[in-house]
Amino acid sequence: MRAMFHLLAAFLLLSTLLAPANANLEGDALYALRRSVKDPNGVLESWDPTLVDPCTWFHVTCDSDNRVTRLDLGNAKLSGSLVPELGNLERLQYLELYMNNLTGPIPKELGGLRSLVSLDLYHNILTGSIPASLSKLSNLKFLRLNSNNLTGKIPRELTKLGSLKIFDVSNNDLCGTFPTSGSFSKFSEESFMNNPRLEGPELMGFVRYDVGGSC
Amino acid sequence: MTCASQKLSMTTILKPLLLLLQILLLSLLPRSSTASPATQAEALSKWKNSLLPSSFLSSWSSTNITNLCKWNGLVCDSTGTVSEIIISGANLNGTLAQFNFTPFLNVTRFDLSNNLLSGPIPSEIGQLTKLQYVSFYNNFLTGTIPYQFRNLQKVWHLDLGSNYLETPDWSKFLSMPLLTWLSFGYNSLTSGFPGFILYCQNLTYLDLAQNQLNGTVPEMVFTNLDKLEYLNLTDNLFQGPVSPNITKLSKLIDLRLGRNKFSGVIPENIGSMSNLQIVELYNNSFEGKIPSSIGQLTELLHLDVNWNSLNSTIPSELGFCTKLTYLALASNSLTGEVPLSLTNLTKVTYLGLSENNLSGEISPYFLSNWTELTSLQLQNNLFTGKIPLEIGMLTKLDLVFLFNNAFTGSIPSEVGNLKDLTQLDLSNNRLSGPIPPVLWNLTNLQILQLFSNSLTGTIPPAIGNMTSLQTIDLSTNQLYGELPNTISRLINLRSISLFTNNFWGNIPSDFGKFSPSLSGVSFANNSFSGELPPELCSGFSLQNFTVNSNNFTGPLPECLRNCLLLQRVRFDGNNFNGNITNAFGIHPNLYFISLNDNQFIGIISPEWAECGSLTNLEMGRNRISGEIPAELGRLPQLHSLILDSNELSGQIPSALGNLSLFELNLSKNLLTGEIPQSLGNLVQLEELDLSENKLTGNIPKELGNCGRLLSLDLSNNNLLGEIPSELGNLIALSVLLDLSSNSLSGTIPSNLAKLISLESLNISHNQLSGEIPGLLTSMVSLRPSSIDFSYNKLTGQIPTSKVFEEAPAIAYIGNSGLCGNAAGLSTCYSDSTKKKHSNTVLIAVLIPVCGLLLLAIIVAVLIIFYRKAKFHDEESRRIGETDESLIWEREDTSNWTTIAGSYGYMAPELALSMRLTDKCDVYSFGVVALEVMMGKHPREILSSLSLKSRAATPVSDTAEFLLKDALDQRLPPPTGQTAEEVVFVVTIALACVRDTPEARPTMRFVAQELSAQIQACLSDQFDNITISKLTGHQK
Repeated sequence: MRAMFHLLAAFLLLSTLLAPANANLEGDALYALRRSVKDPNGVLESWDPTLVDPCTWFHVTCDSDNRVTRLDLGNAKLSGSLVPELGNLERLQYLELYMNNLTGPIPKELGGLRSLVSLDLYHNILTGSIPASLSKLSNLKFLRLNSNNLTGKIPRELTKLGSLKIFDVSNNDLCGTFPTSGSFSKFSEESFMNNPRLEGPELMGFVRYDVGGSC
Repeated sequence: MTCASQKLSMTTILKPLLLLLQILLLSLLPRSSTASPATQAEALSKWKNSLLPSSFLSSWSSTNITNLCKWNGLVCDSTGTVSEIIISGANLNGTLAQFNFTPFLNVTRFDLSNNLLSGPIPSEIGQLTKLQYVSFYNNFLTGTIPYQFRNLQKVWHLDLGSNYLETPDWSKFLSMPLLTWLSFGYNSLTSGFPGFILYCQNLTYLDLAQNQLNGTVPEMVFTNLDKLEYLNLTDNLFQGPVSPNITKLSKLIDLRLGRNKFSGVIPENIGSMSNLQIVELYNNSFEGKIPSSIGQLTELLHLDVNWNSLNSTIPSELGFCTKLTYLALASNSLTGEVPLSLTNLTKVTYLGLSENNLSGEISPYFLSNWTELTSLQLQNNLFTGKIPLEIGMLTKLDLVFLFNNAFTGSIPSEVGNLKDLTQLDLSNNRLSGPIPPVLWNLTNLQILQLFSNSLTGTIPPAIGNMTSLQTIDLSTNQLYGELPNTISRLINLRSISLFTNNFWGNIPSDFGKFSPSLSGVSFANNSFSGELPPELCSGFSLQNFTVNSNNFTGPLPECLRNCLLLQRVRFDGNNFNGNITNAFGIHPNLYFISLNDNQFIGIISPEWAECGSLTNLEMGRNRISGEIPAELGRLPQLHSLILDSNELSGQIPSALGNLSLFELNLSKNLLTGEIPQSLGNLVQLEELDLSENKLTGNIPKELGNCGRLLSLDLSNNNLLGEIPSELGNLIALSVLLDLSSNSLSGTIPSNLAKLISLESLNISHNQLSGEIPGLLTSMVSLRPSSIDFSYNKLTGQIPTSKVFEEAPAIAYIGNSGLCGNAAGLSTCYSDSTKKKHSNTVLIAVLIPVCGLLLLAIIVAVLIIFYRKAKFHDEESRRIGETDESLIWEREDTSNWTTIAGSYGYMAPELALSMRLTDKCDVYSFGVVALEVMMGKHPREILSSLSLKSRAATPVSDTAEFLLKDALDQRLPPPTGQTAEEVVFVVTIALACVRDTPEARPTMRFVAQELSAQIQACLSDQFDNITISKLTGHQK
């Protein structure tokens, strides 16, 4: 009678514990993202962690070595947070997660994406500060973090990004001054606007802004 | 009222007292309890008749009244009346509705457990006040628990467990002072903790498990029920921390709190409950440490703290619990090494340490002491080192899970001793060397997973002995060789996964014939050759079938057509050459099929439209012919349609626009007709490739709606007309825009400048004319090596940015009219080939120039000052060059020194008298401004103005230049606002070149005027404005 159902339930629980583990690091990294986010539109439905590699998953592009080069999930109604495992995608060039409802911080591990050309996280609800580790992304051309709830200072290390062509952190809650040297010399104030606590371009020497929020 | 505590208020005392009075009165009434055996027999018969027939009750018969006491399940007292009813496990099926309780008021035991009774428990149960033992355990009873149970004050055992009983109003219940054994377990109770239980102080056994009871556990459970030996609250919704007072339950032997929402720490002093034998705290939110006092629980047999958030190390004191047989610490965040003291746990049969962050090596001492183990689960940790060969001593092992660790070395051949093993999973470690041959003798093994290691060697014929084997996964290793023929003998095989190894040779020709349950087969990424065994799918059970990236040849097995359960199928990257027209049937669960990169022939059957789950239909790079069936437009889930490099003909069905495609590749076929406008509905599309077909007509502007496109390739067709400017709206384009080798004409739309993420742009080999829009410099992602404008009819200056100037010559070759600062192009010369700006742009340039000139003035003044007026033509010419960002086209200057300093860029008074004022620079600015507007040096105008001012009478023919004639003749005449701006700038410029320094405006004034864009109102027709008219302008 009812006791038998109980046994069946226990068996089912056991069989889920026995699900095979996946050896594919990049698939694991992406699957960690899938587990971390809510996906009301089912755009990640094809992300099956038991497959050989993630190259047949939708919105994932691989190179000829079956290594992930693109993640195109802009405007996909995803909520939840980013995962540090994304930093394992060594050949990722495009991380396109713009216009979602992602929350939480930008993992500092994204600084490990040494092939990254474009990091588009704009129009989300991300919080925390911009990790200085992003300055390691020497191939980065696009860094768009605008329209989030990011706080803290703009790391001065980002001026080392020699390939950077477009930088946008507008519409956040950043504070302090913004760098003007290195690759930042070519960005206009539009890249920084609507950060009420951001004081203005950095000042050299001992000069300080008299006004401006605490940072 | 022995259990009414003195803490109770008057009202709560009064109520039970009244009830008690009621019970007493009832018992004083003249009793019909002297029921005769006849009335009892009649009542029982009536009930029996309401039930489905049961052999257990065959002795119950109204014709057999005299033998009532011998009826099955009844016990009589000395008076011959029934005193106990014990009908357990008799398959009684029906309800209690027809059971007449009245004749049984003297019954002391009422046991209907383990039957099929349904419906509610009648409230008349409350009449049986002599009852001592009641059990309705394990039936299908429903409804609320009747509060009339409160009348049964003599009951010591009450079991209503395993039914569907619902929550009563517990406040109507009374304490049951004699109750020692109570179970409401496995029902549908949804309230908080039932209050009356707190006053049943003699309870030794309490089971409330498997309900939805919620809230916190009242402190009185621990302070009042101090005789408890068994407490089971498993699988409820109880929350909050567990009170340290729990240790007051000093007689407790069995504590089960699993599957609740308890939080906080495990009470530190749990070790003082020295009788504990079973402790289950699994599936809660306990955090912090496993208390080291647990080592005092020397009677402990069973400890389960799985699935919590414990984050300490394993306390070495646990080694004192030497009676432990079951130790489950899995799925926490435990760290550190397994303490060596656990070698003392010589009786442990189940050990679960999985899903933690445990590290270090597994000491051989553990294994040589844990010889009773039936389950060894260390998976998902950080364990390192070798698997000790002592594992061979654990001959009772049924299950070994070591997967997802960092174990190294080879698999010890002692594993071959584990004859009872049914599951062995060593996957995802760093194991190397061959699979020990003895492993293939484990004939009880059902699941063998060794994937993702570095194992070498072959699969020997002995695998045929493993007839219990259901799942074998050896994928992602370095195994090699041919599969033995005996592999076909695995009659229980369901799933075989050998992908990513170095296997070669044929698959045994009868593989699958004796394995009717085969549902998963993956041979992908090996070097298998030959044909697929024809009976591989003869059990029709196949779901996942992936053989991609091998050297298979021949046709597909015919049985495939009947494998209705297919889900994922990959044949891509082989040399299959069969006909696919009828190879597949209707597979409602099939979501992924790839036939890419083979030599399949045949046509695409319209039947594919019946595979409604398809997300990927990929047949690229084969020799498939015929037309693309319009029926494919019915596949609601289809995201990827790859049919490239075949021999497909006919038109692209416009029904494809109904799909929700992410990728559409129809390139390299023989497709004709126009690109359907409906493709513009594919708003999810990320990649569209229609290249290398015979498509005609225009590029539909609707493609501009495919806003997620990353790559668009329409090259090598016969497309006509202009490039729709709407393509500039595809702002996600980043990989490629290729429209080359068509017959496109017209100009390049400047709207393409919005494609700032685009890396590669090819519009070569068309009939495009006009210039490459200068605005394309905004396409910052383009790479010099990946732009191609060659073989068009393009003219004019190439855009002036690094990308365009560093592009190789082949990017522009075949355009006779292009010029600029790039390899293979001639420089754009001032008079004939000077770069064209619109007047508007020129004016925009002049404004910053003006400001920069202010700076230049200072520099120039300094230079001239230092040189003590040592005048040289070239010096002053450099005024314009001081600003490095502006590159003005140089004129041939050979003749203008001959005009005695009246012309050039130098104010006449400076040239003549060295009278240096700031107004000299105003003059220079005026000359530059005029030069910009006229496209050449304004020497005629300057000379005429100079003459005019010196002549007593005005009117010189030369002064009557029309403005329109003076302007750069290579530009179209300005109109509208541009015309106004031109007039304004020329007017200002003319004011700057007035002969007398005093009459010239100041540089500050000029700067203000230009930047404020004060418009000169045009009173005349633009065509009629003369230069002399504008010289009158004064402010």
